[in-house]
This record gives sequence, C-alpha cells and structure tokens, in this order.
Amino acid sequence: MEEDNRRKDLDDSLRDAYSTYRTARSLAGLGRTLSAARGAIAAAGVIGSGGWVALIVVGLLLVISVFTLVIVSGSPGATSEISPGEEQEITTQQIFEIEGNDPLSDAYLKELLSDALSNNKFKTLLTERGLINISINKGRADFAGCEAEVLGKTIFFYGFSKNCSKSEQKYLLLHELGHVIGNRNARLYQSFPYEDLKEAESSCFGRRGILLSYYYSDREGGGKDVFDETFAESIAQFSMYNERTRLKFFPNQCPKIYGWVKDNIF
Amino acid sequence: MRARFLILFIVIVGTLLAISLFFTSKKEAPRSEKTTKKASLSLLVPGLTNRDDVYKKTGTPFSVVTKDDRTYLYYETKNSSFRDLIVLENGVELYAVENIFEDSELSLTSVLRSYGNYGTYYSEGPFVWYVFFEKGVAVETDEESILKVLYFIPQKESEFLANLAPELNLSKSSPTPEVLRP
Repeated sequence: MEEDNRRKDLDDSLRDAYSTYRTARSLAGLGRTLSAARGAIAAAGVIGSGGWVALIVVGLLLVISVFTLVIVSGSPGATSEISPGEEQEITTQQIFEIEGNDPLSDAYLKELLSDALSNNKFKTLLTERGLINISINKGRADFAGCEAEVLGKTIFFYGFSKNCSKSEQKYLLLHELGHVIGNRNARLYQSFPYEDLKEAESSCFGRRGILLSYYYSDREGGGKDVFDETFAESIAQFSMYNERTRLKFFPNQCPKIYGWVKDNIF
Repeated sequence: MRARFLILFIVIVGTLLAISLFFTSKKEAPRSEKTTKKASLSLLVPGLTNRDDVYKKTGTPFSVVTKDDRTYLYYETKNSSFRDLIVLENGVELYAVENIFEDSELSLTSVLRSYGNYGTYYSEGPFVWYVFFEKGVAVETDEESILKVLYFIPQKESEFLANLAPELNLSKSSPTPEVLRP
C-alpha cells in the first residue's frame, strides 16, 4: 500500500513537472514571437522608440490574458482525485433508508463507505434523486450465501452480516451503489464506452465480457447484462483497488477504464 | 504618430480577441467516420417500409447480418455500445430500435400524453420499457428520460409477448438477483 502511494505521488510529481516544463516552453516560444514581432514592427517603422514601453506593457497584458483564459477554461486533462471537495459532515441516514431484520448501524455503514462518500461528485451522483433503500435479509433470514441485487433505488442484501467478510461487504456495497449510480444517471450511463474499453483493454475483461474482478466474469452466474455489470464493477474496482490484492493491477493494466471512472464518477 | 498607435492598438486588440475565441470556443468533436444513420427511424413504417426505402432514408448500415429470412442492419451511434438496429423480414421492416441520447430529441411526457395506455416490461438492463402495443411504439426509460425507442407493427399484447418480447429479451417480471458468491 505504502509502495503504491509512493508511486502515485511520484507519478503526480512527474506529471506536474512535465506540465511546468511545457508551460515554460510555451512561454519561451511566446517570448521569441514577441521579440520577432517587435523587430518586424521596428523595421517597418510603425512605432518610434517611445512606443516600446507601451508595446512591452501590451505584450505583458497579452501573456496575462492568455494565462487567465487557460486557467478559467481549465486544463483539458485535469481530473478530480478521490478527495473531499468541501468537507461536509453527513450521516448515512441522509443517504440510506435501511430496513430488515439485521440492520446496519450508521457508524458501520459510514466506516464501510467513508472514502467514497467523502467525494462530492460520487455523493451527488448517488443521492441527487433522493434516498437509497437498503433492505437486509428481507424474507430470507436464514440465507446461507452472500448475495445482493438492485432494483431501481433499492439494494437487497442477503446474508450480509452473517456470511460476507467486511471486505466483501464493502466491495459488494460499492458494486451495488455503482448500479444505483447507473440507474439514477441514465445519460452518464449511456456515455460509458464499454465496447471501446473492452477493445482497448481486453486483458481487463473475463470470458463473459465483464471486468475480471467480478466474481462471475469467467463463470456462469451473477448479472446477465455485461455492460451493466462492468459499469458497476468499474466503480467498485476504482474505489477498492488499493485495498484488495487482486485489484492492484487496475490503474496500470486498465488505465482507460480507470481514467473514465476517475473523470466521470469521482 | 497617433495613427501608428491606433493601428498598433487595433492589431493588438484583434490578436487578443482571436486568442480569446481560440480558448473559449467549444471545440467540436471530430465527426465519426463510422456509419451513422441519416434520419430518425421514426420515418420508417414497420410492416410497410422495404429494404430500398430503408437504405434511401437511413443510409448504408455499419454492419449487416442475415439470419434465415431476417436481415439485421446496424448503425453506429455516438457510443458503439449502443447501436441502432433495423430488422427486415423478407425485405420489409419488422421492427427497429433507436437510441436516444438527448432529452431534447424526445420527451417522456410527450410520449405518455400522445400514446396513452402502456404495459411495463423489463430487460436485463436497469431501465424499464413502456410498451404501447396498439401504437407500435415502446420506449426504454429511467422514468425521466427516454433512452431507446422501439418501433414495431402495432399488435395485441399477447402477440407482442409471443413474438417480439423473446427476441428483444423483454419480460414482464423484474430481473433475477445478482450473486456475489455461492
């Protein structure tokens, strides 16, 4: 984990350094252009020596304008990190309505989702259409497995507390929340470039055409809609690649999928 | 001297304006070279429009698949995961599925107002289908926006259930549960 974080910091530093280098090159280019223009104007006799100060001031204004515009319009490659925008104290009761015979406490749910819910974009996509229902073991109290399904805004969990490990609970919860984000943000869902990603990063997909981290990516079972499962799985995988050994490959092996989730969900 | 300053001023202001426009104007995405349809599939009439008319109105498809007496014509959209589809049976349109990516293209309110009663159907995906059997139209919706439109020959629900629903993987019951592990 520490190694990954160090690598991520290093990547960020390299990216920043490269960006600074490119800016410096652009400035140098602009300086050369201005200098050439000054020479040409002088040669043409458009201004006298008294006009140089004005030209320099205008040139500086030009540079400042360009920089202002670049900053206002935003760097094209800029993306948000999984980090809180503005710190806002929330309770999970503001997001979830929980029912069932094995209820999750607010503190526990918050612990499972603290990282994801600290990201404002994720939280907004999830919650702007109202509360999400979580139903625990409804009608299947003695269920022997660890299952979940989503219908609209309701997530049904079976055997959640009894049969799923804490890591599985978190992963399953994030996967199902990925479905809820898709269900609630149809236009975003439609923009998920599943086919292009599958073609570009085929090694990230299992035999069934779902991301490898999905339990049923190579075997029968689970959701049947491969687009839908990949959409949800990509969100879970992005959120937990640092915590689960079998997901460590995600950012390096699947940079396009990782990038899409980073740009559009978090 | 004043005139020279004026010329210089105009040149600089013009340059600033040009740079501003360059940075603020929305860059149009390059047009896809893939085959997208030329017109909405609503211009076709299932049961009547033949292959020649389909090609004339919607252009050449991206891909054509023939299976028995049916021909499946696929057209690219802005997302290659969602292709538009026209199905011909013996050279005549049987049904068509069109993807809708913008709310401005078609609104659920206007569809509900125009077509009246509908039956609700489910696919493997997360959204529901409202099927207007006797109008020959169905829409996939998240209850707010329309995501897909299905055009078919108007028919009774029992016929739709027997003929089209299985082909389109539509059912009257909701999807099956997802299982993480046994």
